[in-house]
Amino acid sequence: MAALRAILAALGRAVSRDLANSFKANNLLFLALLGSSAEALFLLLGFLFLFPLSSDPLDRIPAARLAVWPLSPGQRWGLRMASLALSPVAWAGILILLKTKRVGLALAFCGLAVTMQGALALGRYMVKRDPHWNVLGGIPQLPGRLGGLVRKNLREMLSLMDPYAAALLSVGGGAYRIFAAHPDPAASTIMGLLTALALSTCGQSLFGLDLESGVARYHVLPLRGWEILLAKDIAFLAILLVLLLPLDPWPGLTFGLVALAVGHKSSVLLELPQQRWRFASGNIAFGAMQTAAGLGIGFLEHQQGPIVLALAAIGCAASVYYYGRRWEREQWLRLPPS
Amino acid sequence: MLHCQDVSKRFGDFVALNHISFDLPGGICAVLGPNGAGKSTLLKIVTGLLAPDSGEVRIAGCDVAKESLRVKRIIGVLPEDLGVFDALTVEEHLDLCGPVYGLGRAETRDRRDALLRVLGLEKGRHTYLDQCSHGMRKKTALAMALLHNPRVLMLDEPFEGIDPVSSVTIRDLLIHISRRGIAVFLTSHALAMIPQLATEVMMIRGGQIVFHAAAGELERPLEELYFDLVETPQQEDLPWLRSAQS
Repeated sequence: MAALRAILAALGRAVSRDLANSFKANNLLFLALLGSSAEALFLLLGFLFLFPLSSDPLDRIPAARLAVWPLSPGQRWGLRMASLALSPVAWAGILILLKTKRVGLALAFCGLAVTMQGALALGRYMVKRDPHWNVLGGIPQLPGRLGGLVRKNLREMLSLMDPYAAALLSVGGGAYRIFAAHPDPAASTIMGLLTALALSTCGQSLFGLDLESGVARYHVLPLRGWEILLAKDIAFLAILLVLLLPLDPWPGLTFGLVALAVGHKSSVLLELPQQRWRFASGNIAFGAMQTAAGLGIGFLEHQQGPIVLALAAIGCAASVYYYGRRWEREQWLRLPPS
Repeated sequence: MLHCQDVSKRFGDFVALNHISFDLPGGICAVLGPNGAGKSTLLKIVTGLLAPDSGEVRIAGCDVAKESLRVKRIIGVLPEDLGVFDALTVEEHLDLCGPVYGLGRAETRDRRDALLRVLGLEKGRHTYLDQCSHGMRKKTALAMALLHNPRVLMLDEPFEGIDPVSSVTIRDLLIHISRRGIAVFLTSHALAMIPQLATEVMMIRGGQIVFHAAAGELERPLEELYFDLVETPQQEDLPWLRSAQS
């Protein structure tokens, strides 16, 4: 029993940490300010959130480690059952059951989560068998000196959930623009800004997925700090621009430039933790700054035209240069001993 | 080629390097020492990955602190944590490096293919690094260090986690390139490999150089010398480790 208790306690800690990091101070929280008018939007975002939530808690123990622990078959079965209680999907299922009193709905919810995990596991298996199954692998190397880095950054960014939340907004806004009988012209601008908002948390932790190994490589490459930040920004802006194409792109792009200019500071100085296939983790203060400044200057671009976009681009470029130098200096002094 | 003058580094109260000075004119210099002796810290400092508290490092006449970009162009580095990206395949790592070092597309492709062949990475060239074995990751990082034809090669534990055949391949490769004028500075725990490879041996203990000589001038077997000067193997028995019968 003591062994099971110890394992479950460790598992509980791992699940709570994972949960905390799955949506930590993400700028999507600011969408909550939209209130009840955005129910459909939250439903879609909740669907995306189901991906990180539905992972098997027992996966957090390396399979090889679990296999060599001296647990009896009964203890293993007990661990399996008890670990299910640590799944946030099980908690959500119980909540649905308590709130709606509909067993079928709760089971359908849990079934959806299990199906999603099954699909993900199948995807991982296929990629392991043949790397060509990796959809992100289709991103080609871009031309130029930084082309390889931009490709890597694109893949890293697309392995966060934020671009997919932004894509839902973009598709929704684009569909409204095309199919609505009399679309409100302002809607396209607003949806563009919201799309940029959904992506903007990634701009706060541009080095989050590089790990120490990647950071060591940056230092070895004959590149300036600003070039490394620029490769990050190009990837961010490329994704944002594609997502903005069905909408009014320029206010959203202005938001993106402002979000990057603000986010460079947190990216370089805060080292926020990041996990693949989770929503980006941000910092509430930087998120509030990104949102307020991005929305304000984005709306200004809508009113005043491209001059505001150009000024945002200049500001972002200055931020790239300044924080590129800071990154060189800070990182050089900070690397820990072996 | 590599000049290190009075280099010191502290991490809080811990003295990682204590007034280290040496010159490496060329050849292959192997740095030996126990875990925590300061080998990797020294390598990080001479590659510009870490700032020393005091002292000066010069590579091919360039100050590592003041001319870091020039230095980075002429050195090839296998860092301690390898410096690889999980989001790229083995092949894509080399494709990334070529243009950064100013190589053209065709030249990058030719050198990449040759390195993948020599290091036995051809079969796994399309494998993402997060799915590679430690040995493959290390060989990828080594290929990245070699791609741009560096003047000085800095390798942190190049033989650790590498299969015997690849170890011999890497050893022979290093010997060949050092004969062509590329200086190699490496850290290692593989005592058996060093006498066949190194032209100079340096031993570090507690952040200080306790031995530095040409490999050909060693008066005793390297292992014996190492156990004498650097670290004696622990002889303590663990009585609670016994068979159930006894």
